[in-house]
Amino acid sequence: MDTQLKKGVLEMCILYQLREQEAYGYEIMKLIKDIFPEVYDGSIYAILRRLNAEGFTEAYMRESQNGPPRKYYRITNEGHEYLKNSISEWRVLVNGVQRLGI
Amino acid sequence: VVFLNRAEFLRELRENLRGRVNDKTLEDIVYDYNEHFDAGLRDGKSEQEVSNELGSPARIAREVLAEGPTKEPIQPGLDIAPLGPRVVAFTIDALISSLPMIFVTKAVNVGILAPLFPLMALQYPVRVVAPNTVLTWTDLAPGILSILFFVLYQPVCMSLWQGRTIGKRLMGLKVIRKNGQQLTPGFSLFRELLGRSVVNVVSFGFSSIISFLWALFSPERRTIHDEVGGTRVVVDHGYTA
Repeated sequence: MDTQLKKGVLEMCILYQLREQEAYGYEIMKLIKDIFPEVYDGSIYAILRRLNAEGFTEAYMRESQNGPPRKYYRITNEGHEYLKNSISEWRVLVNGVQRLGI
Repeated sequence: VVFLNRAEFLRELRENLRGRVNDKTLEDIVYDYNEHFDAGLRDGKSEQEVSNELGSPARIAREVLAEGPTKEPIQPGLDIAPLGPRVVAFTIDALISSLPMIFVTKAVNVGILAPLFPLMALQYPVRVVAPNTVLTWTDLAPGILSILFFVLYQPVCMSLWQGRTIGKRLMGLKVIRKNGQQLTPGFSLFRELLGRSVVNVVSFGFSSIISFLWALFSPERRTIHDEVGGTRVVVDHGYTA
């Protein structure tokens, strides 16, 4: 997680996952680790904090059947909007790179 | 590589964040990682495994701080007070609260003795009365009143000024409840009478020193009287803050 690009990509992936269903930190971390095993678990929370601060996600406490209440994250309307833009920017980027033959 | 357990990890994280974010944000961040440990343990991992996968607390602190700006404004009145000014405030208050005892006993060392070893100091006002005399309330009154003033000065100040004494006001500090709410007279009495006076007497005065060391290692710089009273000391940003 050293570059802005990587951060942006992780943000997009997290928002994309949350679009499907609300999740708590550990779940999100596991999903991300599945695709990017080299990412430090600790970094995910830093990104979640930023997404929250920007208003793209919101956190709330939810009781769980087996265990203590957990902090769940859900995507906001602004988050959906931001995700849409991120995805189209990403596609432009990937297309450009592919046209070079990379 | 040494893998930290949960307590060590969270302590290091706090240390790396302290003074760089406000208290609420700090607790919020620590909460996330504490919950992560809970979930990891449920997932069958050991504390060391979880902390290893999290990465170093220093790195996390760097990343969290770099991710700013958080939209949480700095809350006035919630910065942990450093121990230096607290010791100065303590000394000022100790001197003020001992003044009547010094006056009654004409023994200046009571001023030094009383705050640290009240058990020894409290005998002074009583000793003033000559032995083998029939004691009257008039003889005892100055001594008793000076002891009462010594014991009640701090809780009365704190009740009148929402957690402030003269020393704390001069140093810009105040006592609040652990949960961040304003100090009530009940909490200040509990903190000062039980947490300070009684504990001090029971420990033969050593609680003052232990208290200082305790606070050195406490993330929120809480002393023994803070622990007993359910309080903490913060930088005072305003009279009503």
